[in-house]
Amino acid sequence: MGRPGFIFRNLMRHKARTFMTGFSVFLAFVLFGLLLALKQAFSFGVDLAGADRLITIHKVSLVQLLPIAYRYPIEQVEGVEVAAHFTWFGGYYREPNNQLPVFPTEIDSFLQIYSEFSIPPEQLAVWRGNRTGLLVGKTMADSFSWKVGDRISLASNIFENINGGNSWEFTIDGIFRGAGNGVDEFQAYMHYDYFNESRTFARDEVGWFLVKISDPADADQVAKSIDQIFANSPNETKTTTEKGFVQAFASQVGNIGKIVTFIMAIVLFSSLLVTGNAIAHGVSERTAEIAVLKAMGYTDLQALRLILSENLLLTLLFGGLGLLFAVVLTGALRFMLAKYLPGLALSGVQLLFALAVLLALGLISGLVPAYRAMALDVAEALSRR
Amino acid sequence: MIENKRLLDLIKVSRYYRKGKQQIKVLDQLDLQVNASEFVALMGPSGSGKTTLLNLIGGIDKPTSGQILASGQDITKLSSVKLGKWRAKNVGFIFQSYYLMPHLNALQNVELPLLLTKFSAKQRRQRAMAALEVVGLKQRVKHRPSELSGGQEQRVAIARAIVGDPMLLLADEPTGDLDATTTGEILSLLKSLNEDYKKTILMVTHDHTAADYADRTISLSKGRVGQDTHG
Repeated sequence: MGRPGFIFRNLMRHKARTFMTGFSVFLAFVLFGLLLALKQAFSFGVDLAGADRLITIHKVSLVQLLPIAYRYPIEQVEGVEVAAHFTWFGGYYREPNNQLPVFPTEIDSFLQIYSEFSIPPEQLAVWRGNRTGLLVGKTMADSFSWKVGDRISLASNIFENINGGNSWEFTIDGIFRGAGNGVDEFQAYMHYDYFNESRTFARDEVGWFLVKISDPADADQVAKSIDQIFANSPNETKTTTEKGFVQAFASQVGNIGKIVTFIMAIVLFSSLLVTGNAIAHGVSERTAEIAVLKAMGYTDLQALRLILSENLLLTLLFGGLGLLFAVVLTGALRFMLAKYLPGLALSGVQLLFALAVLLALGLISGLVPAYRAMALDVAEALSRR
Repeated sequence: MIENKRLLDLIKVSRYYRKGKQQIKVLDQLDLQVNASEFVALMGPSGSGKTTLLNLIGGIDKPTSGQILASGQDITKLSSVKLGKWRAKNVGFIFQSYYLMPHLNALQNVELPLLLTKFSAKQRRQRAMAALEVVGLKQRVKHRPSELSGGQEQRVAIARAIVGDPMLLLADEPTGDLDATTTGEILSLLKSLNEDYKKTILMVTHDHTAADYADRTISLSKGRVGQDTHG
């Protein structure tokens, strides 16, 4: 039996207590992991939003459409590299509650702007040449078991088709993935021309423009220049950075981030109390044993390390399992809730943060009992018996 | 020659405690010398300072004043860390209540002091086995304290005390919880450790029969050495 073995055996001497305490740490870190993922989901897109991208919408609201012809004046503004347009299709699949984020766009400018999308070249070539082709995100495709080559029909709850009804026929030509974690793969893109020519109203109008600029430092100036072009026109514009736009959009659902942080703090504090109390109780029971260890030659620091190690082992073992379970659970929920929370994920950075919190919890909750063991007066502790 | 070598030299050792505003003199200007390989019984009425004296010699308590020289080294001047290392190397404690770890078996209990050394796992195990063999418990190494009799538990505790090969064994009422037969066995074992392995033993006891196993009996009275009887 070495020192690690001794620490492990100390931890396992009251199995029921250890497992109950450990289970509370496990649950706390399952919840902590899920809350971290939830926080990430509510700020989804903010981190991803490019600093070199501006978004131009109608000054009144996002719902108001803009003339497609605005694209060319926008691209003439100094500092603008390219402008792509998008429109909210208001699509759904089979049932109105199967709502899908589908956007008509123009393929070349779209590809220039979204470099973080990864599309197999052969699929891209097919999509480029097929007016009724649809480019679908991997999560969306998986949700409905769609494959490349499938023919599907999507309906719109906004637009009507000139052929009657509100359905559009598509062939799935490509499935894209995000080049990095955090790209929303629950969305789809269709050719604007196909959409524009077959809708009954609002032809040659678009929802918004996404503008790529050459230098992020010029963002404010470029935004002002764009809005000045259309000032006093029937369709005035409001241009902002993509990051600012996404943040403003996210804040419409309240400051979820702060609420989630508050809940996380409560969860961790509760876990701290439960673990600290259990360890303190255990150390109190072992006063004489610790005194004997010190009589054998264990120094004060070694006694402190022994108790801290036991506590760290308990928290790291059960908390680590909790985080692992949270990762698995998040993966499953990400798939199930892809429509509502596309950004639900635990990133490597978040996991490192969670591990740091776990380590801190292990140290802090064990600090008081470990200090008691360190400061234990051997002669006095033995005389109490 | 070895028998006459001075191992412990206590010079004017005092230990006072405070109880409220009252100062209690447990040991008062006590002088004591113990040679290597002596078996000393410490006797005296309750509160005479026997256990306190043992704790001071073992370095788990500090005197209010005075010097405690162990092989010429004043242990009262050692820092907490150095004192811990000194104890690990030189002292083995035996308690009335054994204080074995209930969740460890006999072998693991005996190995505990060796966790502080640089011995390999194999060396630790071999030494622990050897110590258990000395106390006659080689067949019980896998038994936990709850599976052992009181006498066997005390034998494991003695094996734990000698496994690091200390020069000094400090036994505080080692037979206090045992019946007469087992008491005899434990005292014979201590005598054998003293005679065969040349261990210096200081044993606190109330029992005159137990003191008969020692070759020197010191009676404490009012915090000082009262009687000091050899033979």
